[in-house]
Amino acid sequence: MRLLLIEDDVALGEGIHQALGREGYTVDWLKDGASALHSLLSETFDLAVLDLGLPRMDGLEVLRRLRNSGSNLPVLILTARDATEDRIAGLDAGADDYLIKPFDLAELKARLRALLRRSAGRAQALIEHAGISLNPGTQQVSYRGQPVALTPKEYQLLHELLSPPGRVMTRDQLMQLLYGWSEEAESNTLEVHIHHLRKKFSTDLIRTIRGVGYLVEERQ
Amino acid sequence: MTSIRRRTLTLIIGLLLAGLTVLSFFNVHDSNHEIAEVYDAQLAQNARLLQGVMRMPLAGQQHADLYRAFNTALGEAEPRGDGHPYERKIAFQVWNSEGEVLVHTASAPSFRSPPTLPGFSDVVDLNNRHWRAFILEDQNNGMRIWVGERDDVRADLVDRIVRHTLGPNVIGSLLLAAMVWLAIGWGLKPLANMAATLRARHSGSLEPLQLTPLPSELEPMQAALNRMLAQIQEVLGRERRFIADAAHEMRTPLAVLRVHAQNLQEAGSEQERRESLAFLIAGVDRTTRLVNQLLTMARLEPGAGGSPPQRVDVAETVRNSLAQMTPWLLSKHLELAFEESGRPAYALVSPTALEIALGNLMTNAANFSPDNGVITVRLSRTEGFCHLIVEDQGPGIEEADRARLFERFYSRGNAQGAGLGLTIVNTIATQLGGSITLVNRQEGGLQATLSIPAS
Repeated sequence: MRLLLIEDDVALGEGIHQALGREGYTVDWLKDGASALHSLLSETFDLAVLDLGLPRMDGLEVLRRLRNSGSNLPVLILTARDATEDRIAGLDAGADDYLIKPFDLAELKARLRALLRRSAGRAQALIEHAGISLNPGTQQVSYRGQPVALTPKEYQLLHELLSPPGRVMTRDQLMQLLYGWSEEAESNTLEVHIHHLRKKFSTDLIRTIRGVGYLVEERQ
Repeated sequence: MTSIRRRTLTLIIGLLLAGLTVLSFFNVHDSNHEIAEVYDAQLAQNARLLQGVMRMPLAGQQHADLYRAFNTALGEAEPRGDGHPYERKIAFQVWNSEGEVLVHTASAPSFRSPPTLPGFSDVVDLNNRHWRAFILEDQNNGMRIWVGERDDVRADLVDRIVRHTLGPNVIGSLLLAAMVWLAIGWGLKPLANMAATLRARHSGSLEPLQLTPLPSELEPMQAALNRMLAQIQEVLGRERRFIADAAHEMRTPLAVLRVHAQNLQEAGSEQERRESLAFLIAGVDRTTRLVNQLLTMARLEPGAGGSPPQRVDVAETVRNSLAQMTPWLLSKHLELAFEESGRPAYALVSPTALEIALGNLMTNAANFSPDNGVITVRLSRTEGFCHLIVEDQGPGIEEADRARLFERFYSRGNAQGAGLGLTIVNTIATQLGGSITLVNRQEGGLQATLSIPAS
């Protein structure tokens, strides 16, 4: 899952970056509002964590413009502004959740999972599809009742494809979601991960749409 | 406790009593005199009446009868029945030219010899009684008529008359005092009303007083009270804003501490552990700096005390201050140079405030300086001002930032700063009647100039 962290405080950004990276997220981090808006509008993310007091463009303005562009990206506001009016303004501007500093990292992670779940149209924490059971909380996956060991990238790729199934993801989108800006990836890495997933589950789990991308079919 | 009512009353009653006493004194004195005159006139009249009667050519027996009639009428007058309380016993005696007593009342005093001086006199008889007497000399008929009355009797009457005059005065005074007491109370009512209104106010209320109608004497008091309330409200408001801002600003550093502490808990490797610990320590330092800066801000608030302004040798203070900072600058691989014009520079400042301002400018310069950068501090004098200039070789400031740089808690995305440094310098400059200006140097870097009035 690729997450854009927009936080101008370096020390706090480092901490969140580290914690969410450890959680398996592909975290990209920007420190000002204007470049954050630019990236949000031009790239693919699963989530955004947005501070409000940002240089070059206020967080609320970033959010408003993002929603005006028609984006449904789940956005969690993470701010020191704790007044009720601020929370209302944030939620009304299009935030899906609002968390006040200082906060518990475990709570942040849980809220992010909930946002992902809802954006995938599920209410249950477990993702169950075609005999696969994926638990985003523990990051454990089982197939037909048997635990399956996945590398972090394989887990992420499976999570993306299953959130929800039935969507065609382009190669480019999947590369962005898996690697963001930070990590260098070989050109055929994605294909290698897809190959491993097919081997660990079933060969027809992931369909290749030639020239377009990959798909986990809704009904199997 | 002094009471205006009691004070005023004491004064008024004192004056009233003194006035009344003086008046009464003259009254009594005049009455005494007038009564004496009236009585004297009566004595004289009685004497003439006696003279008229004595001149009548009467036979011996008739004389005796007449004498008795007089004796009864004058000498035994009693204030009873149809009498008047002020009637008095009068004594008389008549001598012929040879000094023989012709007639006399029983109560008449005996004298060794008939008194000779005609007119009024005060005499003492053989029994040591005081008399007021009138002597009428009738040389045509060879008679000397003496009419007298006893002083103590007359004094008794005068006493009674005076008592009757003074009695109403005393009662009147008491009534007047009571009325004055009430009147003063009524006059002071607006004051009592004001006190009651103030007492009835909610203890935390800082709303201005609006007493109507308000006597003109109390208007300045209400105005002064309202001014004071407004000041208190302003100070409280400033304090509340400050506390709210401070609490708000604490959130981010606390979030930093919490995040890194949790990361430390979940660290998978020694490397991660060490990283998180380093962040934690940096976070604690940052929080400490914020708290220190907040305290400095609080101490700069007007009325917060602090060291009083004194005439300070600016060059010396700056040099001492820089000397203390040098080890810290060296540890950050920065070089320091201090240049002064050599002209004496004195200013009326609190040395602490000057050191705080310089410290903040130096911290900013150090934080934005490149490695091995040079920070130049210069001191110059112009007409009426000392200029303390701090130059660094950092990136300078962006025009867009300029307006916000002096705002509280505005920091240029620099996690080291609390966003209070320039605010503090600006506050100090303003309090000293000076200014702080920031200019990007042509050769790169920022030039911060703190100008304070010279003394």
